Amino acid sequence: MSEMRWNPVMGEWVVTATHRQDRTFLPPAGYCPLCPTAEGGFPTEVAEPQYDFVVFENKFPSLKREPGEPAIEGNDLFPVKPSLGICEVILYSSNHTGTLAELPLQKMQQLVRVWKDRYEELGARPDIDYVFIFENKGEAIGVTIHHPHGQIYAFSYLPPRIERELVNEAAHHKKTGNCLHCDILRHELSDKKRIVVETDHFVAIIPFYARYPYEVHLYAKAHRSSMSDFSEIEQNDLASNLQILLKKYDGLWGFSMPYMMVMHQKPTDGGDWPGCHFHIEFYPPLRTPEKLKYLAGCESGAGTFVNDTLPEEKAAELRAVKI
Amino acid sequence: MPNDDKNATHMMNKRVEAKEDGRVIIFYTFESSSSQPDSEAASNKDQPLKKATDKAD
Repeated sequence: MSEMRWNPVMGEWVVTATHRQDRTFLPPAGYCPLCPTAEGGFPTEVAEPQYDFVVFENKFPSLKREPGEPAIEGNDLFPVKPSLGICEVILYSSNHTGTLAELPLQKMQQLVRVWKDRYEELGARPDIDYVFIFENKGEAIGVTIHHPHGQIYAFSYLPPRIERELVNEAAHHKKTGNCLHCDILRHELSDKKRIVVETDHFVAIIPFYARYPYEVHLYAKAHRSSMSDFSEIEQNDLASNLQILLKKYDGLWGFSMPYMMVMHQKPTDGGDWPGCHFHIEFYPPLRTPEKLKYLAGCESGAGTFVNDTLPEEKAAELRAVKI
Repeated sequence: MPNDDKNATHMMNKRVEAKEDGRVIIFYTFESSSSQPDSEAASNKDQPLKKATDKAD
């Protein structure tokens, strides 16, 4: 059963997706559903090994292209609606092992093109308002399948964190006439203290207001609202910046850094959104090699993050990592 | 250090199919040209990557 239930207290939708309880969880070696189907083996999601990238609709989607009617009837206090949307999986490789950080630069450049293509194709659908590209990596985030992959959720509405960001961008734009993120970047590029990786067209910083110790936001330096605005050279430069950043993450403690990677870009609802500025946010959950930053009472219940570190110091740490 | 090939070009090919249960699957392949040799890229399809990764769906 799957539906969207309105939370009138917080003013946001919650997706129920009970079928996801049965999704593949830590399959034993040799039974990865994302590896190419072996001769004589069990059928996997991808029958053939010869590809650069594969994208397919999630077998256990939170949002569905044809969701059907909700299983429960809503009312004025508790509206419900079908969980309309599309959930896709992107396989980075047919190899079972590896990470995004380990992709060769050429393949990283190709992946940027695949992300752009998915943003444009899914965003062109009239029922899709926001294309959300992300990757969850590492046991600390919650393992279900080891095979290197990312995900895309194509929402039929603006998710609440995105909407909040858009509201603040619009308010800043109305007040100053400037893009909020462009103003932030001007400050960061001048100050330099929180820069982690700077390339020709992109810069990765730990934001002044970072919530996680090693939270990084990777920005297009020029005002680009989405990947659709990128030139070929900018797409290649994004791949370079991303690869350097990920290698620094892995080099920091000598193991593959767990993280959530999320892309924020222009909604595809037909709005103008002049304050929207493409960036990728990384939320690594570790604050030391052994200790997690838990989202505990204050973070989960009050919505206020307590960061035990200073962004300026953590940026210097990451900047100093040799790759 | 990464091979910083700023001017590489990538011709993307898509093949869209339907799985038995009706889900869409898209195969992406690329024809890429690089002004600098990228030996890692050339061998990527045949070489297992080094580290295990853990993902959440």
